[in-house]
Parts: sequence; structure tokens; C-alpha cells
Amino acid sequence: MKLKRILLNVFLTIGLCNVSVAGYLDDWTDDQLCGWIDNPSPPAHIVAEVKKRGINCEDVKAVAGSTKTTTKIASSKKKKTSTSNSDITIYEVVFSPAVLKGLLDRIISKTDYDFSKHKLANNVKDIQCRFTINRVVYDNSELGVPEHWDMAKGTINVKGSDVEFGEGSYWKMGGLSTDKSYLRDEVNIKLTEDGHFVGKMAYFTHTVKQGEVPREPLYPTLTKHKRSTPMDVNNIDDVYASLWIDVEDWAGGIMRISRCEYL
Amino acid sequence: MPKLNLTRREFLKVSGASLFLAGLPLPGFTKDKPPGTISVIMLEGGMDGLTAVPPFGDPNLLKMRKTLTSNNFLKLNSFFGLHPSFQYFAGLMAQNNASVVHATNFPYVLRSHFEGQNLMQGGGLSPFSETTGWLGRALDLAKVPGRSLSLDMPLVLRGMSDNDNFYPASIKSSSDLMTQLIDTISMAYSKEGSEIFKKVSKKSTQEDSIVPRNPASLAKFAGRAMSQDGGPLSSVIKVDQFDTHANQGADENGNHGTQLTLIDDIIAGYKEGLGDAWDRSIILTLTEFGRTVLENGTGGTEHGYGSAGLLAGGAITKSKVISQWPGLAKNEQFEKRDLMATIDYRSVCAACIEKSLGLDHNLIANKVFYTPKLPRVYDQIFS
Repeated sequence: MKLKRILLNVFLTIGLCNVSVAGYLDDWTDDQLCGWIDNPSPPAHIVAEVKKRGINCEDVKAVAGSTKTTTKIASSKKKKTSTSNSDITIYEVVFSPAVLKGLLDRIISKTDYDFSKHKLANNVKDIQCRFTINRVVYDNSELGVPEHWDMAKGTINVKGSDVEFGEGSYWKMGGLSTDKSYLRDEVNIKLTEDGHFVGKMAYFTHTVKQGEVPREPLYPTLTKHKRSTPMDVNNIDDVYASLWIDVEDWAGGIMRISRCEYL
Repeated sequence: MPKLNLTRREFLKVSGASLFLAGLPLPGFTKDKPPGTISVIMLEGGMDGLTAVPPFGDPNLLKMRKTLTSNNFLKLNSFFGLHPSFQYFAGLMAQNNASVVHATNFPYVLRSHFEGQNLMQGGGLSPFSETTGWLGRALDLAKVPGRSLSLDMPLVLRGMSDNDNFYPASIKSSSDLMTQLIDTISMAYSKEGSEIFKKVSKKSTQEDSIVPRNPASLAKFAGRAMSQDGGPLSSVIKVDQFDTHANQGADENGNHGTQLTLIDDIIAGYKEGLGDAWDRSIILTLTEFGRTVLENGTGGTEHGYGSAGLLAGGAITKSKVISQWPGLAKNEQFEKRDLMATIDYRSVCAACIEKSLGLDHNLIANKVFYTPKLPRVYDQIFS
């Protein structure tokens, strides 16, 4: 009685195992199975299935002579194998000109800016000035309250209309701002002929203390702000400009330019 | 001061991603630098390729996925569309810097997350058969050993003892307790183990650990690192939560759509960080399996087989959808339930390795994927 029960259990186990393996391999084509057989150590259940079907695998394909190949491939013509690239179709991507323009606009850089609407300076010789950026807080006043500490400082170089921050310039806002490459690589501003800076730049408006999660910079647009005092590029010896920058609702900034000299 | 109002979508954006960098050329290494960089975005949980890149030209799609297919997809051609979450990726397709491989996956059909994720990283012949990963083995073959150390090195990068990884964690600034803890643990280990913990401490307190931990920022950081001379040649970003059994949603704000937005942000971050190095870069997604063709009763999908792979980078010069479309009719599905995978995704990985690391396809097929007859799809992707 006991032996009968053991034998019954053994037969049931073996039977169920076979059913479960055969179940998912039933849908595999001979070529798929042969693809695995070509591997140095094919899984045992694949080997068993290949033997069961009597397939002769050669060069990853089930070859003639294996009795089930023809019918199997014919019956599963649309179930293409995972091991051949001969039937791959290339579906070209096609957009209408209007759609294309809209899509390309999505991938412009954060500092991309169209300067064509501005009259840019063109006769400024190579000059270097000192700059500071101070925060203006609008929490308690619509006009804003300038803070008396520098968020960023250093030198700024102007040549023609091109504006670049000098090597020793830096942000003092902690976190990512300590990476000097932001002032070098993520700035795209130019000088207009009436002494304003226009364009876009990476800008750190939040202080990040040690241990706090750092924040990515913002990319405000520098415009000809009505509260700005522009640079007088014709009088280098007496430049004192304050260029207002709108950043967020609660805070903006003033970039002060002074002490310019020819390089 | 600014208020911190986080939407669910914004919350997801700042969570659930890890970054790993590898393949840093050693100083004095004389071999010619490989031609490009390769980045992998691992999508854990099983990305639904039929949602990401809907084959709207297949008459069975809408019959089987009434609530899962966005009405707002971008038409790529007369057969395939692109989910609206892929705003940036669509721009890259317009720029001829992105492609899709559809009805593809690693040859794994048993639908287990653990096995599938292991196989997609290991690139072996069966789950848990490899202790190294396909990308690690490729970097090893390209002879670009790196600094190395890891507390959590993903399998896909394992291949040599010198590989390295990075995760931004400024433990020094968090508290001295953490550094003391590391010191204490390191003392309990033998010389080799102790050295590893010292490296952890050193790496975690270095200046470049200051990186926001959202996926896009990690990608931007990775891109910047890879763009530097002597920087890493490879990076891996892992994102989870693609396992949408219920309430999958169709549009950008649905559960799957939100995750697809993360992929989009990561690719955008990479491009921003890579700068000019974008032109020699390739980024590819991996997922352990696709999902069932038919939606279930709770507005979701079950584990499946075939999915879609997204490719982006300046190494791609012509955008296209590459597929051997198997059809979505019941008798065309794998086991009458899943999208059939007709392209072995290992071939796609091999093509990306060939392009970025300059290795011969046969070498990759033999030594990286242990499949000598692995089909070569390089021309379909890169020409």
C-alpha cells in the first residue's frame, strides 16, 4: 500500500514536471531551440526538447532530415525566431516639416537663446571687469530687498558682444554651485549695444548647506530689465552697472559690474 | 521662502534611481582609446513595450488594449507611434539620434523578475549561470580596466576586479557618526576588506559626491564624467517600478507614463552632461521582459516576453524602428498571451558594444554572450 502511494507520487511528479516544461517549449520553433543548442552549455530542458523532437541542429538552424522541421517552420512562419536577422524590417521615421520643427525645439539646450531680436555690441575691445551677484528677496516687498552678501563674484570678460566669466569666478551657494564649470560651460550671454546683458545662464538661487541635498541650477533669461543701470561701454574708466535678473517669484538678483580695464 | 509642493510625479522623479560608472582608463594605459561610450538604463519590473512604442498599425492593438493605449501618441510612421511621455526622446528621433528596436528581448520566457533581471545583466545562457555581467566582460575585453570598488555593483558591470562604481552620498557632511561607523567596520576586516571600506569612506566624502539624487541629475553627472578625458567609458542607471499589474494608465500621468517620463529625463540628462561627447555616445535601455498583450481586469498587464528597446546617442545617425513584427493576433502571440520577441536583444547589446568599444562582433558573440552564432544587427542600427 505504502509502496503504491510512493510510486503514484513519483509518477505524478515526473508527469507534472514534463507537462510544465513541454508547455512553454511547445511554442518554440525548431530554429529557436537550435539557437540555444549552439551555445557551449545549453540548458538541459532545451537539450531534452531537441532530442524529443529529433531535430538535427546545424549552424543554428534546424536542417533538412529532421522530421518535424518543415511542418513546424511552416506552421509558425509568423512566429519568427530570435536567432535570425534576415527578416528584420526597418521602419523609417518620417515627420512632416511642421511636426519636425516642434520636435527639434524640445531638445534645445537650457542655455540656448535667440539673440537675433537684440542689437548686440560690436565695437567693445577686450575688457575685463569685476562682478558680483546679490540676491533680491521679494517675500516682504514688491520692490524687493537686496541682500548685502555676494552669491557669486569674480571677473567677467567682454569682447565684441561676447561675455565670459573669468577663471577665478565662483558661486558661493554651496552644493553644485561649487563646480566652477557652471560659470564656464553653462553661460550664454551677450552684451547689447546699449549696455545690457541678454541670454541665459546657470544660476544658483538657493543656498545648499553641508549635508543638504544639492539642487540643480535654474536657467533664468537675462533681459533688458527696466530697473537695470546698463554698462557704459564708451567710458570704461567709470563703469558701474547694476543688471537686474528675474529668477523666481520669491527672489531675483542684481549683477553688479565695476572696475573695468582693457586687457 | 519657496514652498516645497511636490506632486506624485515630481516625487517619483527624485526617487528610485542608482548610478554606476565603469571603465576608467588607467593612467599610462597605452591602448588607443575606444571610439565611444556606452550607457545602460536598466528598467526593472518589465517595461511595457506596447505602451512605450504602440504599434498602432496592428489592427489588434486597440482591440486588446482599450484603456492602455494613449490617444496622444506621436506617429513615427504608418505603423509605430511613440508614447507622449517621450517628449525629449521624440526630439532626438527628429534629430536622427534615437531609434527603437521592437518585439525584442533577452531569450528568457519564464516571466520571473529575479531570473529575468539576472539574465539581462549577466547576458549568459540561463539565469544565475554567470557571476559577471555582459558589459563588464566587454569592458574587460576592450582592456579598459578601471578603478574599482563597490558596495552594490550591478551584475551587468561585473567582469573584472578593477571595475568601479559610484553613488553620490556625502556621508561626511551627514554626520561624523557615519564615518566613525565605516572606520569601525573597516577595523573588523582583514587587510583587503579594510582597504575597501577605506575607499568607501574616501569616495563618499569627495567633492564630486555632491549630486542631486534624481535620475536626470545622475545621468547628467554621469554624462559630464564620461565627457572628460580619462573619464569612464560606461555608466549604468537603474530605475524600478515598471511592474504595472493594475492601473497602468495610458497617458503621461498614468503609472507607466510617469515611469516613461523618467527614462526621457534620464536621456535628456545624459545629453546635457555629455556635451560634445554626445556625438560618440550610445545609450540603451534594458528590461527583463515585456508585458501581456491583453490588458487585465484591473487596468494593468501581467509579466510577458517581448518588449521594446530604446536607443539614443550621437552614434545613431538615422532614426528608425527596427523590428521583425510578429503580430498581435492570438495565434501570433507567444504562448497566446505575450508579444513574441523576434529579435534577440543580446544582438542589440552586441552592436552597441561593437560601436562604442570597437570590439569585433565575433569576439563579443563568443566571449561576452557565449553565443558564437549571435546575429549581427550593427548595420540595421548604425547605418
